[in-house]
Amino acid sequence: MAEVKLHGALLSPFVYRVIWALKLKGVPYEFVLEDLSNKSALLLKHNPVHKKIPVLVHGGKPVCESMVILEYIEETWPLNPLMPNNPYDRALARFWIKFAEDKGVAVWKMFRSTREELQNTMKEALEMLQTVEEHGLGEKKFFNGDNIGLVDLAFGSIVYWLQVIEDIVGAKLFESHKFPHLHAWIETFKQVPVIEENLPNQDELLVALKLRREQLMASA
Amino acid sequence: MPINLDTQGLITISQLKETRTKKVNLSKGEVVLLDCWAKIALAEKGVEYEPELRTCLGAKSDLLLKSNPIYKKVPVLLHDGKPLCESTVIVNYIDETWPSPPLLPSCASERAKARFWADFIDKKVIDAVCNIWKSKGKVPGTAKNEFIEILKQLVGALGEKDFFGGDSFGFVDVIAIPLTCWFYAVEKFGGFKVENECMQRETVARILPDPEKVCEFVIMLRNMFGIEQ
Repeated sequence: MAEVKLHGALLSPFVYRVIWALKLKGVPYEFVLEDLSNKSALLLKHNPVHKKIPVLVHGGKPVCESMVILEYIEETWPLNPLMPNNPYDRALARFWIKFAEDKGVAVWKMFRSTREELQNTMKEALEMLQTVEEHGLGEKKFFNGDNIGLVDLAFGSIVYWLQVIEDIVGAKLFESHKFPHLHAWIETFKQVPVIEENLPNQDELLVALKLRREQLMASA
Repeated sequence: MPINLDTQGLITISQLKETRTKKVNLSKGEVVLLDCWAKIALAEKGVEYEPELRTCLGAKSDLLLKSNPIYKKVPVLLHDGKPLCESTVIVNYIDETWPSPPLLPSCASERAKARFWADFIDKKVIDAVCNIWKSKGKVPGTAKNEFIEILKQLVGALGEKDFFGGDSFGFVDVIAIPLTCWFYAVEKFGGFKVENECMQRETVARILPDPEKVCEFVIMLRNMFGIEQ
């Protein structure tokens, strides 16, 4: 089987999506740690357009952008499917994946925002959560139904990181009485054995993100 | 940009007809559709449709609001009453539901490349186009430079090929081509020239609005949004 390498950085939510997908499919891979302040020539060669991680390299061919990588993994290793098998439900899944990409940025913006910007970015993040709670998840156990899927991985990274980012910026958005479905879902998500074994330690994440935020605010 | 500008073109597709090469086997039903990307994809698949109905700008139909409660925007595809939104999602669905001729390549790594470029166009190009026509007064140099840089990336991706997909018209071409009818408006408001050789394909030429008309539309929008010319 052709070799699989994952170029990534520690504690990146986008990298974790790819790790979860590979682990759920049982695909062995080599993790190539990138220093984001000094990106390797190989990373820049594999992702000349965005120059970002994660990049999956399979048999020497690079795939970039976390959700494009996840669709590639799904198609290349069809065992343990992470997408529905009919076109309409797959389209709905892709809609929510795109929503996670387009609107999930509100969480990263919140992390990077100054005191003055925080109100607006919090509002965006809140709207995103409300839409997902109301229209996306409903009463389902997972976004993908009874089993974990790509949409769960997309939102899993956003919500898990949000729970830490909230503490750091001093916001209280993701409250259980406001988002009962999402709260139940993230607990279920974290207890899936593959996810549980491959989650960044929340304390380590808190320390690392706190430091990063201090650096960002200092240079603002 | 039709997807962001609240236009509505409603096209009713009745029974699927036999394609040139083989019968597309699909349950009968009404397919109601709004806008260019999906129109081109369906035309490529040999799906015929009836003339469109247009509603006024800003007067969104109950059908649209019910079908896309999250974004309240076009395009929306309704197949047997089930709605789908977002252009790349719709074009993917069309490709899976009517598999011939295929828009996405058969090889997984080429499919990933196609999805990458569709994502790039969706994330970068549309915003860059909007930053130019929505500028009050002179278009900032940063907006122009960003648009040109992005175009250079796309040109690099196309290379010497006839299509982004290689020898045949494909997924990325469907996503990219409706933007080309906006180049004239971008040139006019941005004050620069873009080479445009993409309008030759029959399905494209038949479906895409006339660039002059797009420009008139942009002027109307700028007036509507209170942006000075």
